[in-house]
Amino acid sequence: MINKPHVDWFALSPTLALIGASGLLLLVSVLAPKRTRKPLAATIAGAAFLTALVFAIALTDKSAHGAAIVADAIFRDRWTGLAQVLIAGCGLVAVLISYGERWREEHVGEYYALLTAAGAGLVFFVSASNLMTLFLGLEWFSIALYVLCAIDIHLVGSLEAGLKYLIIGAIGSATLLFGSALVYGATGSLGFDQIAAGTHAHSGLLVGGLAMVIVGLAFKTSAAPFHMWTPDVYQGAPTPVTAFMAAATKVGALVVTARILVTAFPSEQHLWTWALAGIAIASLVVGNIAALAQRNVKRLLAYSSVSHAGFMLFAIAAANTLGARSLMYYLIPYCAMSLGAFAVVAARERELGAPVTLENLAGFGWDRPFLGVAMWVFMLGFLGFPLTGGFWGKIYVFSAVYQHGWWWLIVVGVVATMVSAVYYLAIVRSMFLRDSVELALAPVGGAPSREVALSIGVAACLVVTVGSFFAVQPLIDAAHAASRALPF
Amino acid sequence: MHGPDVSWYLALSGLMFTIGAIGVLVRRSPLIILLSVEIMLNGANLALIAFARHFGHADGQVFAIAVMAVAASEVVVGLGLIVAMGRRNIELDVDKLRTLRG
Amino acid sequence: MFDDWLPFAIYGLFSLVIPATMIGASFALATRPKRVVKARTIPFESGVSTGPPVKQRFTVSFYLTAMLFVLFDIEIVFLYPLAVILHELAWFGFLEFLVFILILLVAYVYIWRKGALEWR
Repeated sequence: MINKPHVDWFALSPTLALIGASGLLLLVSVLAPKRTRKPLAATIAGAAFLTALVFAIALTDKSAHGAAIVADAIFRDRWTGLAQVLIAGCGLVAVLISYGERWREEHVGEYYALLTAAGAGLVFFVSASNLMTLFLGLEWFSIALYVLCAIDIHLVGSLEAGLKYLIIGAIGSATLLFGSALVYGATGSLGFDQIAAGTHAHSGLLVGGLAMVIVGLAFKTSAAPFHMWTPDVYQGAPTPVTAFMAAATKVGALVVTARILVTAFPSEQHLWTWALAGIAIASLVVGNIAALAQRNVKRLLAYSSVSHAGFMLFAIAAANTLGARSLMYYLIPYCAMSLGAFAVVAARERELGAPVTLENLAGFGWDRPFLGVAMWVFMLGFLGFPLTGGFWGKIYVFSAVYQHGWWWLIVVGVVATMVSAVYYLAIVRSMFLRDSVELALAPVGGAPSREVALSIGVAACLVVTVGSFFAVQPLIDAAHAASRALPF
Repeated sequence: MHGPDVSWYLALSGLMFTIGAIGVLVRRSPLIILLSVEIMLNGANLALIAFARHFGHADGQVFAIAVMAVAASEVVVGLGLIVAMGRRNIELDVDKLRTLRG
Repeated sequence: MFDDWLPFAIYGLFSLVIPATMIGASFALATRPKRVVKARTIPFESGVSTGPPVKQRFTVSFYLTAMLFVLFDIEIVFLYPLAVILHELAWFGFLEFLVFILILLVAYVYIWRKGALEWR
């Protein structure tokens, strides 16, 4: 006899809203008249992310008691809900950033279709409660992102970025899949809860599987030494895509890493805390040192995202509620700062019609004071300066690892932060302290008119970055409620 | 029990995964690399199916079917990119894809 | 022990026999002139030798059609398990099936309107 699963449509609503919009957008991109395509597609995508955001907030509110639903395929709890809120928010801002991009091919409809599909995949991914939904969610958003990276086939390096991401991403997912198979073999079940219950003794199979699962997810978090695709892909992909990837993919991968390790492998905690601490330190070292040598701003920000992955892995490695809470909190300003920083890069790129380097940022802060000041705030936020959420993020992460008894990780983190000041401030310096006239940098065809959509997106990021400093208490409370869904 | 023990299948799947991984590392044509990734995925699939049979439930088999479809889509995307690069006369050698570095 | 490995042995035998027959048959059944003349063994019997044969390039339509075929073909894999238990699932299964087909239909309309099915 077959048991039909009970489908909790409300829990699936953010995913369904986005995937429905994705299908609709595919039809729009071939059936709607050419001139209406761009505004129509952007509106539908924006509306879809907004709907998903509203549903995700409602879902977070109404899921105080976590439970596995739909035949134990996905979790409905606040950990999932809050991550979905973040992802939907990132998608909304990404749509705003994308609107002004000058797509040379008639791929606008497809672009938004893929963006919503990637959003749907991520929203599904963070709700995964067994190894199968985990793998399917991962591939779902990854495949959409591979195409998104390569979508501007006339942009130099876009195809190359897509292919590189695909090859490395495929290796990562194959590793994750083999790890899943080993874990399944060791415990006889795919569900996270059942894996934890089915672990009797330390078996080589389980440890090997766990290691491969961690490696597979580390490819997606772009933590060193599995980060080698990150700078190339971030640089080669169209900038709005990079913005979305840097923010939303990181949310998905980190939230799921925390979930699977805590829920499915509590008995192996002594192993994975050390593994994650090692990966995190490697990320901080590699990310910060490599960022120092970069001239291309997108590449620099890519390495900066590697080092931030290190900070957020600290939070998971701490393996306590404070760690989970600080991860969720850290992600809020981090998403805003990443999206905002790449949005500013996109604005400059559209002015110059060329890749943005530290040299040709010169004078930008004076030409566009709003974007310049915003970029300044984002850089200080990355650095962890007070008056930005990045400050509390780092404080919470450090206190989580201190609670775990690893004070030496704090030393590593503080040194890394000091090193990172060099390149974050270099961006601010080149924007404000150098004159564009002396470098003979002028926008192609005069300065383009202000982009309202992009400015709204940057303003939203700015509000979240600064707001998360002042509104730290309600946000930490939300993160606390979310972290209670994890069984520590 | 009929047939070889589950450990034989596991050994074979591990071997397939390793062959695929070596192929990815050693070969330079993106086509062959995609092929090697497929071998890695199929190695994992074999392990899933073998364990599903060993435990006597269908979870692993369902997983394997889903993986097949996903792998096919992934490869089609990869081939699409390779064809697009071929049309634009970009050399198909992953060591020579160096527009993006720094 | 031997019984356990028998299916493997049969499988191995088949995997050797089938390619061997194919290769053998192509030699046995090929029509070929009996007498070997030197002129017949070189690539061109008259005119100027054009050097190595030019690499055959397929049109892009070929790759496109092949990839679309693979994509839609692999989706059938989900219909087999559904077909086995369709009676037990009754309406639930049927509706799920319809949703699945609807999604494929969206993709189909897209590639059709995009002109990907026309041979160029």
